[in-house]
Amino acid sequence: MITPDLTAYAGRLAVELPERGTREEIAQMMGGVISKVTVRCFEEGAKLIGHVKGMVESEDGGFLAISSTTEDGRVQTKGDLEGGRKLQMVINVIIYGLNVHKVEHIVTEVATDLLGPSFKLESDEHEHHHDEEPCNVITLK
Amino acid sequence: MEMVIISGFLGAGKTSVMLRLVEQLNQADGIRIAVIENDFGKMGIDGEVMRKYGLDVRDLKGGCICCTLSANLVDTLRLLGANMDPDMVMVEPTGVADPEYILLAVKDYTGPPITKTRLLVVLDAERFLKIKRMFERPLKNHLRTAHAVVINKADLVEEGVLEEIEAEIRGMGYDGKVIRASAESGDNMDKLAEVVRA
Repeated sequence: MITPDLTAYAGRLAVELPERGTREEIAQMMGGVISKVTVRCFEEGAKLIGHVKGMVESEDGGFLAISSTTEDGRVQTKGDLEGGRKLQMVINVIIYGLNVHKVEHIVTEVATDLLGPSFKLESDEHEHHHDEEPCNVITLK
Repeated sequence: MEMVIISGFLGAGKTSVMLRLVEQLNQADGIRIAVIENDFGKMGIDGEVMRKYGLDVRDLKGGCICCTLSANLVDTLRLLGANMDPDMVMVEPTGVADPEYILLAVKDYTGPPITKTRLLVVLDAERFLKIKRMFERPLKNHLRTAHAVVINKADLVEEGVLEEIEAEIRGMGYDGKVIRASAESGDNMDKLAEVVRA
């Protein structure tokens, strides 16, 4: 249902692990990002989560699809991935009650918190209000 | 060419239902299925996931096939019919689509005939009551067009909740088939496949 408070955000996270991670490690790490983004969106005042979804791909072609829709940030994960070191995750957030810049801020904050300083985020919604500071976000616009 | 539209609110599990349904239909009948995947966002995920599972997918991104992309839907159907001629096209609209407008858009289609159209509405058992409180009218529109309703994630809620959901949708005037299912575990997906075959 398209309403004025509907927001759709998309970004692409890239992270390189110090060493190859197992499926379980990757699912836990990237699932953690999806989960925490969902929880933070509710904390910041989202009325309803349409979905928070991620698709992780590793350098050898494996993938995991991860999604969350509930306030507790519980995730569902499926896919065929044995492990990997260079990971990319497209993340989609469709949500009611938060604007896109707030969602983008939450994604950046969660990625910084859970993935450490080495991640890169491609996003077309980033506001470069901190041009003098180091920033992991690549603006696509 | 038959068409199956798998509609439902965001996060209801439409993609998972579709993957299970394709699995059922492929195994039992060996039919050739093409998928049209409509993502509201500019970077789609569901189409990529289905491709990873080996499906033949056409993406329509960055809008909704019930309004801004309705002409693209008709064109994609025409191209699929002309070039691939699948036995069945499965269409997954965005979770914000109004299926009534999709059915209207398809009336503009001119190509190999669509011999049968089925519209399935997927509901999220865990969140149905909250979604109904916010979007009762659009939900009624969904139900009005449905050939069958799938209460997905049925394994995640108590029996009483399922009964309440069923009572609510009957109260909203829906008198068709209701299937309690779990795309995650595969429960009752065979029953859904029977509806599609009928």
